[in-house]
Amino acid sequence: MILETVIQSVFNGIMLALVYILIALGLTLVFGIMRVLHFAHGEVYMLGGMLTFYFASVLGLNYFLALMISIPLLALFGILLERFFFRPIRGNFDAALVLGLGLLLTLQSSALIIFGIEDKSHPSPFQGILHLFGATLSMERLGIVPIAVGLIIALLLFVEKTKPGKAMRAVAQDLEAAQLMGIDVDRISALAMAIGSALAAAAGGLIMPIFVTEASIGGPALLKAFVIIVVGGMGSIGGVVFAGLILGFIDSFGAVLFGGPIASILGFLLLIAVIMVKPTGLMGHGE
Amino acid sequence: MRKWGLVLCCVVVMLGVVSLNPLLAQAPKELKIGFIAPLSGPAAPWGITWLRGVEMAIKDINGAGGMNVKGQAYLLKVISEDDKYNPALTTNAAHRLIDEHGVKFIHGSITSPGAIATSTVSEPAKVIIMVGGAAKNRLGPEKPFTFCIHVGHSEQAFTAYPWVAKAFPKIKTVASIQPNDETGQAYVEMVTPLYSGLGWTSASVEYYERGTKDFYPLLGKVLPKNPDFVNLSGNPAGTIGLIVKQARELGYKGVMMATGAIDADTLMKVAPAQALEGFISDSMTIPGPHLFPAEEKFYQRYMKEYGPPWQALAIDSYDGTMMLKKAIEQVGSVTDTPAIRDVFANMTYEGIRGKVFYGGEKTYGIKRQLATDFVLSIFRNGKPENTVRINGMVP
Amino acid sequence: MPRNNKSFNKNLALVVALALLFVIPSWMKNKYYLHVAITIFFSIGLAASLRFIMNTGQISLAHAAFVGIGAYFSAVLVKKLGFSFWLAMPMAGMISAFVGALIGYCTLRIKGVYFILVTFGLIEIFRIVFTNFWKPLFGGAMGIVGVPAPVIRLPFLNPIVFSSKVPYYYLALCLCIFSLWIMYRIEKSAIGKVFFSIKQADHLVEAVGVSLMKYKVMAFTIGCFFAGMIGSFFAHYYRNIFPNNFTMWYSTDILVAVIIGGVASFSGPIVGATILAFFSEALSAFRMYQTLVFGLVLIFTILFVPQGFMGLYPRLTPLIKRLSARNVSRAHDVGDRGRVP
Repeated sequence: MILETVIQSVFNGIMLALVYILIALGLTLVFGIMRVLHFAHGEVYMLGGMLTFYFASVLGLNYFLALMISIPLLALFGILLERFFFRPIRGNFDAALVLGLGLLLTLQSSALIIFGIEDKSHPSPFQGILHLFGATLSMERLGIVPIAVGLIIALLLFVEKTKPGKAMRAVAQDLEAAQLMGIDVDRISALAMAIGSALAAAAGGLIMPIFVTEASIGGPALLKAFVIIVVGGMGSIGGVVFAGLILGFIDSFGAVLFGGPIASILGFLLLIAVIMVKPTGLMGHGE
Repeated sequence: MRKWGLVLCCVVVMLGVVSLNPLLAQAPKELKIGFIAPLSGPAAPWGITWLRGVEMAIKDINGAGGMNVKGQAYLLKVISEDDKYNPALTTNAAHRLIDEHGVKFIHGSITSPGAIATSTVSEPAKVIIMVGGAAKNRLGPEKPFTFCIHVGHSEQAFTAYPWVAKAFPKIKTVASIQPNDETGQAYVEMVTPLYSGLGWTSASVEYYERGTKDFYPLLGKVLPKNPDFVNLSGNPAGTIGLIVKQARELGYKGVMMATGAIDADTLMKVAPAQALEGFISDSMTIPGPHLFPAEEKFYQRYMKEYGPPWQALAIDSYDGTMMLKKAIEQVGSVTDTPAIRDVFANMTYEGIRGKVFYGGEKTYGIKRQLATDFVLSIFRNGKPENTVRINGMVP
Repeated sequence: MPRNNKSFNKNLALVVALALLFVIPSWMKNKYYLHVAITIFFSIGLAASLRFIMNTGQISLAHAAFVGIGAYFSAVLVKKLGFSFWLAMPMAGMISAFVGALIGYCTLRIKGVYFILVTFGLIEIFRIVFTNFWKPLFGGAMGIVGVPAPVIRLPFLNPIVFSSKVPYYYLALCLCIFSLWIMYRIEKSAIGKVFFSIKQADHLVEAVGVSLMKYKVMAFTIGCFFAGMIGSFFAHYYRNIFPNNFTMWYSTDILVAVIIGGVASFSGPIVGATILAFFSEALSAFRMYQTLVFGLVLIFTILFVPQGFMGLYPRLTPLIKRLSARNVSRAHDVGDRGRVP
């Protein structure tokens, strides 16, 4: 019994972690480059699920096709947000906070009105249940693991190897120096928003068949992303992955051991413990 | 000379106006009804549905010429406020409705804290309020103007549990999974005392934060205790679907149930048919056995006007508004709220679900809890089969 | 000493405004407007106390939690332990301040955006603690119902129970004025100058040998003290408190009031809280679209006045100077040029 529960919790922890990581990566990218806390990021995650549901369930398209339409659409949405909303107030952190809040309220309310009040779900393309040492592993949960890992690796490669990726790193390290080197900060900001939104949308679309999507799932997801970013360290992709795995395991094991409410607090207590010891996060760079 | 002519004209006009007055008195007046509920955020589905029931009732009432109060026609108008699930905003809204708009009848707020917040303002002002919720302290003899027009899952438990115990005599241990807020906590408090009378013991009570979608961890804590019966009443349909699906994936074979106006369509979308097999619920197949024609008609009308999901909650607010109209017309006044209150409380009304009336004297000390029928169904082959009609009366 | 025309006029205007505020309840009988005024007064107090913390460059989104701590403890002290409200209110403030100091000591060493995220965690912890722990004391999700109204007991007189809105109005007004006055004095003092320097360039302040933590914790503690006192008022005014009253959304409301008003100016919170209150009233006409409209207005307001409404003031001043032909120059704190995380 214990072995089954442990195996289940491990696999579940990994799956949860990957979804959180995708969301947190987008958030840390946007912060690293634009120096703003994108409050409405959770709503992009929600819209990813909504749009994927709409294309797959309402229009009847193939699930993967629906994903591949929703993600670029929301990447474009991210670019528009940067251009028309964040750029005018660049540098003003407080104003960006209020802006993000306004966007959050607007997007959440709009989603409720446009997409309706019911919970939305769609059958997963991965069906079936695997039994491993008595533990239950549903294929739909396992199915998203390779996709999510693929996206994370793609991001890492992009940031490390490609020219725009290096430009992003430069801007994140030192804005003025990057500008002096001729990097167009506007375009890099737009790129960051595009990639960040795409990752969040992917997370939303991937999670929709397993759970449900409804207008208010953005808030809790954003909160998880916040915890990961602080624990992992802002601006560090490796930190986000590491912290995401830790949080995924805490969520997975925590409720089994302590029940819902206490498990919720555990993540936050971890947060506070980490920053007391290392204020810039486990793998964060000092700023 | 001209001056006197002018005066004469004025007198004639005034006389004319005065004589026209009896006709003017027949023109319909407007009666404002207040409405407070969460209309945005996670609790919005309930608030929006409640509002829809009220709007449907108002459409019917106004369409028939309005309320007839001693010969004077009154058209109803609802002023709705979004309290965003925050009782302080509920209080603000209550003040706005009562002190600024002068309303005498309010729907809301629909949760227990909201009901308490509203009643703090409405009782001294002798305003009749129609609420939901389940907590014991939201109704009472010190709040004679507060009525619960909703038979929720806590109220249903009083009569649903005995039926379940009889139909499934092998049940000995019960597990409960509830949201970690006043709905969940009030439910557990109200309903756990019923267990001993049925020979049940509580194996596990677990709370989750609203918004949780992944129940594997929580189920990992509950299922090892091998409960015979898992009760999910009061959870949103989507969440119930998730818990049922995940519990069955993890190999749980026991009885599962949920009441509380659970929408079958959402359940069936989230959980596969084989997981739902044998699931007990108050979802209904409409049309179907054990239902009244009025229920089927209301369902068709709701779906046509608003589309899915079906929320039976709309029936409660519809009937509540209609009952209020009847009480007002019987008393013949829109301001004598003590009299209207007494008529309202003692009324037996032929509603959409058949006979409804107010009870709950033993539990609350005053008859302010609505009693109405509900139908229990058991899922077979992916669809709910209406099985029995029960009256949801609270002692 | 030559009389300074400018500051005399400013003080006169202030005195007149205060006198008006005190006189209002004698002619405004509408309970609803009194209620709105009361909520504006304590919103101003909360916005000012949050801004006080923001003066050291830390944005706290856990502010509602400290209001809640004050509210809960005051309710428990009066309802369950029989204390007088007049003792409970400062005690609630001090309990809130104490918790604030503790939490501040643990968390204020981190900067900027990290700190905001941590405060998110704090408010969640707060909510879970008050919903699930010590239920006999705090009432769990059902909170504390029936918090007693304040009572004034003077010798040889009948006790005056706060039953109508009018005594609450005066209490809220006095509390607001008291809080603002103290915060203003601190801000204008040497300590206040240290706060601002920390906000602008904390590494420089540290380099000069000033203990950053000491001042940050001080500001945080004082801000939480006022939040706690106002929380106590909240509990005894609304007469029921629930964990749902003190959520992240309440914190963001307070933050929005500060930023819309203008974080650089002391009057910012006053302007912001008032604008927000009037706007919320106007919003109710939109029924179920209230939140949508609120979000849209927030977006467009901040795009047009990113420095807040008081941030418009420097732009207006040349205009006023030309109109009034006075030859006095003003130095204005134009405020943030972007935050260094």
